[in-house]
Amino acid sequence: MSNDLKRRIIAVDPSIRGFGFCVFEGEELLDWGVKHVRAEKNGACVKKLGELLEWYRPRVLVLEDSKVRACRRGARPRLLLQAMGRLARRSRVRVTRISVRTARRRITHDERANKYDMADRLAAAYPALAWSLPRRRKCWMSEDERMSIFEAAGLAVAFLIGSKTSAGHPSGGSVASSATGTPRDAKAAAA
Amino acid sequence: MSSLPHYLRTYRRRAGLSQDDLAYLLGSESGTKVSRYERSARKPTLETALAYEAVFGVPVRQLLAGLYERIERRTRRRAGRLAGRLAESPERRSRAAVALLRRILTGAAGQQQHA
Repeated sequence: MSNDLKRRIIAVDPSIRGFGFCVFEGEELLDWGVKHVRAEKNGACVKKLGELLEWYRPRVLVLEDSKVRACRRGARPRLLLQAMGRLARRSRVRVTRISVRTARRRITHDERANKYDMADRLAAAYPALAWSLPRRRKCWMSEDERMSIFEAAGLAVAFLIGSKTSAGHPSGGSVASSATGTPRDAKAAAA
Repeated sequence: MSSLPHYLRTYRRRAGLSQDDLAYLLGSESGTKVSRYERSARKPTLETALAYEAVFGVPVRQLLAGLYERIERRTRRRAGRLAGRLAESPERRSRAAVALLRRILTGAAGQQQHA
Protein backbone atom coordinates (compact mmCIF):
# COMPACT_ATOMS: atom_id res chain seq x y z
CA MET A 1 0.00 0.00 0.00
CA SER A 2 1.25 3.47 -0.84
CA ASN A 3 2.69 5.34 2.12
CA ASP A 4 0.37 8.22 1.27
CA LEU A 5 -2.61 6.11 2.31
CA LYS A 6 -1.41 6.00 5.93
CA ARG A 7 -0.60 9.67 6.16
CA ARG A 8 -2.55 12.77 6.94
CA ILE A 9 -3.84 14.79 4.05
CA ILE A 10 -5.72 18.05 3.98
CA ALA A 11 -7.93 19.11 1.11
CA VAL A 12 -9.17 22.65 0.74
CA ASP A 13 -11.85 24.26 -1.40
CA PRO A 14 -12.03 28.09 -1.57
CA SER A 15 -15.48 29.57 -1.24
CA ILE A 16 -16.98 33.02 -1.14
CA ARG A 17 -16.51 33.57 2.57
CA GLY A 18 -13.37 31.54 3.17
CA PHE A 19 -12.77 27.89 2.44
CA GLY A 20 -14.00 24.43 3.22
CA PHE A 21 -11.54 21.79 4.37
CA CYS A 22 -11.30 18.10 5.16
CA VAL A 23 -8.57 16.22 6.97
CA PHE A 24 -7.99 12.51 6.47
CA GLU A 25 -5.59 10.14 8.18
CA GLY A 26 -5.33 7.23 5.84
CA GLU A 27 -8.95 6.69 4.90
CA GLU A 28 -10.26 7.89 8.25
CA LEU A 29 -11.99 11.26 8.30
CA LEU A 30 -10.41 13.32 11.07
CA ASP A 31 -11.87 16.76 10.76
CA TRP A 32 -13.91 18.93 8.44
CA GLY A 33 -15.46 22.35 8.39
CA VAL A 34 -15.61 25.82 6.93
CA LYS A 35 -13.22 28.61 7.81
CA HIS A 36 -14.70 32.09 7.57
CA VAL A 37 -12.76 35.22 6.74
CA ARG A 38 -13.80 38.83 6.30
CA ALA A 39 -11.45 41.48 4.98
CA GLU A 40 -8.43 40.74 2.82
CA LYS A 41 -9.82 37.32 2.01
CA ASN A 42 -6.85 35.67 0.36
CA GLY A 43 -4.37 36.70 3.01
CA ALA A 44 -6.69 35.67 5.82
CA CYS A 45 -7.40 32.32 4.14
CA VAL A 46 -3.70 31.60 3.76
CA LYS A 47 -3.20 32.43 7.42
CA LYS A 48 -5.99 30.06 8.48
CA LEU A 49 -4.61 27.36 6.26
CA GLY A 50 -1.26 27.87 7.94
CA GLU A 51 -2.89 27.19 11.30
CA LEU A 52 -4.38 23.96 9.97
CA LEU A 53 -1.04 22.87 8.54
CA GLU A 54 0.66 23.59 11.84
CA TRP A 55 -1.87 21.63 13.87
CA TYR A 56 -2.37 18.64 11.61
CA ARG A 57 1.14 18.42 10.08
CA PRO A 58 -0.15 16.75 6.94
CA ARG A 59 2.02 15.13 4.33
CA VAL A 60 -0.10 16.25 1.42
CA LEU A 61 -2.26 19.26 0.62
CA VAL A 62 -4.83 18.55 -2.08
CA LEU A 63 -6.12 21.50 -4.08
CA GLU A 64 -8.24 21.98 -7.14
CA ASP A 65 -6.32 22.11 -10.38
CA SER A 66 -7.29 25.56 -11.62
CA LYS A 67 -5.16 25.35 -14.76
CA VAL A 68 -7.43 22.91 -16.60
CA ARG A 69 -9.63 24.45 -19.26
CA ALA A 70 -12.84 23.29 -17.57
CA CYS A 71 -12.02 25.17 -14.36
CA ARG A 72 -14.58 27.89 -13.75
CA ARG A 73 -12.88 29.68 -10.91
CA GLY A 74 -12.60 33.42 -10.90
CA ALA A 75 -9.36 35.35 -10.57
CA ARG A 76 -9.35 35.65 -6.78
CA PRO A 77 -9.81 31.94 -6.03
CA ARG A 78 -7.15 31.06 -8.59
CA LEU A 79 -4.69 33.38 -6.89
CA LEU A 80 -5.70 31.93 -3.54
CA LEU A 81 -5.05 28.38 -4.72
CA GLN A 82 -1.60 29.42 -5.90
CA ALA A 83 -0.89 31.16 -2.60
CA MET A 84 -2.01 28.08 -0.67
CA GLY A 85 0.30 25.93 -2.76
CA ARG A 86 3.23 28.23 -2.02
CA LEU A 87 2.50 28.16 1.69
CA ALA A 88 2.34 24.38 1.70
CA ARG A 89 5.66 24.06 -0.13
CA ARG A 90 7.30 26.46 2.36
CA SER A 91 5.92 24.22 5.12
CA ARG A 92 7.40 21.15 3.36
CA VAL A 93 3.97 19.77 2.57
CA ARG A 94 3.56 18.08 -0.77
CA VAL A 95 0.93 19.72 -2.99
CA THR A 96 -1.29 17.69 -5.28
CA ARG A 97 -3.78 19.28 -7.66
CA ILE A 98 -6.81 17.43 -8.93
CA SER A 99 -9.45 18.76 -11.28
CA VAL A 100 -13.04 18.82 -10.14
CA ARG A 101 -14.07 16.64 -13.06
CA THR A 102 -11.51 13.99 -12.13
CA ALA A 103 -12.69 14.02 -8.53
CA ARG A 104 -16.34 13.55 -9.46
CA ARG A 105 -15.51 10.81 -11.94
CA ARG A 106 -13.40 8.87 -9.46
CA ILE A 107 -16.02 9.03 -6.76
CA THR A 108 -19.24 8.53 -8.70
CA HIS A 109 -17.86 6.60 -11.74
CA ASP A 110 -20.18 8.78 -13.81
CA GLU A 111 -18.93 11.38 -16.29
CA ARG A 112 -22.20 13.31 -15.99
CA ALA A 113 -22.22 13.49 -12.20
CA ASN A 114 -22.50 16.93 -10.63
CA LYS A 115 -21.30 18.19 -7.28
CA TYR A 116 -24.50 17.15 -5.54
CA ASP A 117 -24.20 13.57 -6.79
CA MET A 118 -20.66 13.49 -5.49
CA ALA A 119 -21.74 15.00 -2.17
CA ASP A 120 -24.43 12.33 -1.83
CA ARG A 121 -21.88 9.56 -2.34
CA LEU A 122 -19.50 11.12 0.15
CA ALA A 123 -22.20 11.60 2.76
CA ALA A 124 -23.17 7.96 2.36
CA ALA A 125 -19.55 6.80 2.72
CA TYR A 126 -18.88 9.08 5.72
CA PRO A 127 -22.03 9.33 7.84
CA ALA A 128 -20.53 12.08 9.99
CA LEU A 129 -20.57 14.29 6.91
CA ALA A 130 -24.22 13.56 6.26
CA TRP A 131 -25.25 15.99 8.99
CA SER A 132 -23.56 18.79 7.03
CA LEU A 133 -25.12 17.86 3.70
CA PRO A 134 -27.25 20.79 2.53
CA ARG A 135 -30.31 20.48 0.34
CA ARG A 136 -29.81 20.59 -3.39
CA ARG A 137 -29.74 24.18 -4.50
CA LYS A 138 -32.58 25.59 -6.55
CA CYS A 139 -31.74 28.14 -9.20
CA TRP A 140 -32.96 31.05 -7.06
CA MET A 141 -30.93 30.02 -4.03
CA SER A 142 -27.38 30.93 -3.12
CA GLU A 143 -24.84 28.18 -2.75
CA ASP A 144 -24.77 26.80 0.77
CA GLU A 145 -21.29 27.30 2.18
CA ARG A 146 -21.28 23.72 3.46
CA MET A 147 -20.92 22.49 -0.11
CA SER A 148 -17.29 23.56 0.06
CA ILE A 149 -16.79 20.84 2.71
CA PHE A 150 -17.94 18.26 0.21
CA GLU A 151 -15.87 19.74 -2.58
CA ALA A 152 -12.84 19.45 -0.31
CA ALA A 153 -13.81 15.93 0.73
CA GLY A 154 -14.18 15.03 -2.92
CA LEU A 155 -10.65 16.18 -3.67
CA ALA A 156 -9.27 14.25 -0.71
CA VAL A 157 -11.11 11.05 -1.51
CA ALA A 158 -10.19 11.33 -5.19
CA PHE A 159 -6.55 11.62 -4.13
CA LEU A 160 -6.86 8.52 -1.94
CA ILE A 161 -8.51 6.57 -4.72
CA GLY A 162 -5.82 7.68 -7.15
CA SER A 163 -3.08 6.65 -4.71
CA LYS A 164 -4.66 3.24 -4.25
CA THR A 165 -4.97 2.73 -7.99
CA SER A 166 -1.38 3.69 -8.64
CA ALA A 167 -0.28 1.33 -5.86
CA GLY A 168 -1.90 -1.57 -7.66
CA HIS A 169 -5.19 -1.76 -5.80
CA PRO A 170 -8.53 -1.94 -7.63
CA SER A 171 -9.84 1.46 -8.63
CA GLY A 172 -12.63 2.84 -6.51
CA GLY A 173 -11.38 1.09 -3.43
CA SER A 174 -13.35 0.97 -0.26
CA VAL A 175 -13.70 4.70 0.19
CA ALA A 176 -16.42 5.62 -2.20
CA SER A 177 -17.77 2.15 -2.81
CA SER A 178 -18.62 1.64 0.83
CA ALA A 179 -21.69 3.83 0.42
CA THR A 180 -24.75 2.03 1.64
CA GLY A 181 -28.06 3.71 1.51
CA THR A 182 -28.53 7.37 0.72
CA PRO A 183 -27.60 10.40 2.75
CA ARG A 184 -31.25 10.86 3.50
CA ASP A 185 -31.21 7.45 5.22
CA ALA A 186 -28.12 8.46 7.19
CA LYS A 187 -29.79 11.72 8.22
CA ALA A 188 -32.99 9.94 9.22
CA ALA A 189 -31.05 7.37 11.21
CA ALA A 190 -29.13 10.10 12.98
CA ALA A 191 -32.33 11.99 13.92
CA MET B 1 3.81 8.93 10.76
CA SER B 2 3.46 10.36 14.26
CA SER B 3 -0.02 10.67 15.72
CA LEU B 4 -1.69 13.92 16.56
CA PRO B 5 -1.43 15.00 20.21
CA HIS B 6 -5.00 13.85 20.64
CA TYR B 7 -8.10 12.91 18.69
CA LEU B 8 -10.68 14.35 21.06
CA ARG B 9 -12.27 16.64 18.50
CA THR B 10 -12.35 13.88 15.90
CA TYR B 11 -14.30 11.49 18.08
CA ARG B 12 -16.65 14.21 19.30
CA ARG B 13 -17.50 15.34 15.79
CA ARG B 14 -17.92 11.81 14.52
CA ALA B 15 -20.39 11.22 17.34
CA GLY B 16 -22.35 14.32 16.35
CA LEU B 17 -21.95 15.91 19.79
CA SER B 18 -21.57 19.62 20.40
CA GLN B 19 -18.96 20.82 22.88
CA ASP B 20 -21.75 21.59 25.35
CA ASP B 21 -23.23 18.10 24.93
CA LEU B 22 -19.89 16.50 25.61
CA ALA B 23 -19.19 18.82 28.53
CA TYR B 24 -22.39 17.64 30.16
CA LEU B 25 -21.40 14.00 29.70
CA LEU B 26 -17.98 14.72 31.19
CA GLY B 27 -19.53 16.43 34.19
CA SER B 28 -18.62 19.99 33.25
CA GLU B 29 -20.94 22.93 33.19
CA SER B 30 -20.00 24.39 29.83
CA GLY B 31 -18.28 23.51 26.61
CA THR B 32 -15.41 25.89 27.38
CA LYS B 33 -13.37 23.16 29.00
CA VAL B 34 -13.96 20.85 26.06
CA SER B 35 -12.80 23.60 23.75
CA ARG B 36 -9.61 24.00 25.79
CA TYR B 37 -8.89 20.28 25.64
CA GLU B 38 -9.43 20.23 21.89
CA ARG B 39 -7.15 23.21 21.37
CA SER B 40 -4.57 21.61 23.65
CA ALA B 41 -4.77 24.70 25.84
CA ARG B 42 -5.26 22.37 28.77
CA LYS B 43 -4.67 18.66 29.38
CA PRO B 44 -7.64 16.68 30.69
CA THR B 45 -7.36 15.30 34.20
CA LEU B 46 -7.17 11.56 34.69
CA GLU B 47 -10.85 11.55 35.67
CA THR B 48 -11.81 13.50 32.57
CA ALA B 49 -9.69 11.25 30.34
CA LEU B 50 -11.43 8.20 31.76
CA ALA B 51 -14.78 9.90 31.22
CA TYR B 52 -13.82 10.43 27.58
CA GLU B 53 -13.09 6.71 27.33
CA ALA B 54 -16.46 5.93 28.90
CA VAL B 55 -18.25 8.23 26.44
CA PHE B 56 -16.61 7.09 23.23
CA GLY B 57 -15.66 3.52 24.14
CA VAL B 58 -12.13 4.21 22.92
CA PRO B 59 -9.06 3.65 25.14
CA VAL B 60 -7.38 6.74 26.52
CA ARG B 61 -4.13 5.78 24.81
CA GLN B 62 -5.95 6.05 21.49
CA LEU B 63 -7.74 9.28 22.34
CA LEU B 64 -4.51 10.90 23.49
CA ALA B 65 -2.35 9.03 21.01
CA GLY B 66 0.39 11.60 20.56
CA LEU B 67 0.77 12.13 24.28
CA TYR B 68 0.84 8.36 24.85
CA GLU B 69 3.55 7.88 22.21
CA ARG B 70 5.72 10.52 23.85
CA ILE B 71 5.33 8.94 27.29
CA GLU B 72 5.93 5.48 25.89
CA ARG B 73 9.21 6.58 24.28
CA ARG B 74 10.46 8.08 27.53
CA THR B 75 9.40 5.00 29.49
CA ARG B 76 11.25 2.73 27.08
CA ARG B 77 14.42 4.74 27.47
CA ARG B 78 14.21 4.46 31.23
CA ALA B 79 13.31 0.78 30.96
CA GLY B 80 16.47 0.18 28.96
CA ARG B 81 18.62 1.84 31.60
CA LEU B 82 16.92 0.00 34.46
CA ALA B 83 17.15 -3.34 32.66
CA GLY B 84 20.88 -2.86 32.38
CA ARG B 85 21.21 -2.21 36.12
CA LEU B 86 18.98 -5.09 37.22
CA ALA B 87 20.43 -7.65 34.82
CA GLU B 88 23.53 -7.77 36.98
CA SER B 89 21.58 -8.27 40.21
CA PRO B 90 21.24 -11.85 41.55
CA GLU B 91 17.93 -11.19 43.37
CA ARG B 92 14.93 -13.24 42.26
CA ARG B 93 12.62 -10.24 42.13
CA SER B 94 15.09 -8.60 39.79
CA ARG B 95 14.66 -11.43 37.28
CA ALA B 96 10.89 -10.84 37.18
CA ALA B 97 11.49 -7.11 36.81
CA VAL B 98 13.95 -7.67 33.97
CA ALA B 99 11.36 -9.82 32.19
CA LEU B 100 8.85 -6.99 32.48
CA LEU B 101 11.36 -4.45 31.28
CA ARG B 102 12.16 -6.60 28.27
CA ARG B 103 8.45 -6.65 27.44
CA ILE B 104 8.35 -2.84 27.69
CA LEU B 105 11.33 -2.59 25.38
CA THR B 106 9.79 -4.90 22.81
CA GLY B 107 6.45 -3.10 23.06
CA ALA B 108 4.59 -6.12 24.39
CA ALA B 109 3.87 -4.75 27.85
CA GLY B 110 0.35 -3.76 26.96
CA GLN B 111 -0.50 -7.32 25.97
CA GLN B 112 0.20 -8.76 29.40
CA GLN B 113 -2.99 -9.77 31.16
CA HIS B 114 -3.66 -8.96 34.78
CA ALA B 115 -3.23 -11.96 37.09
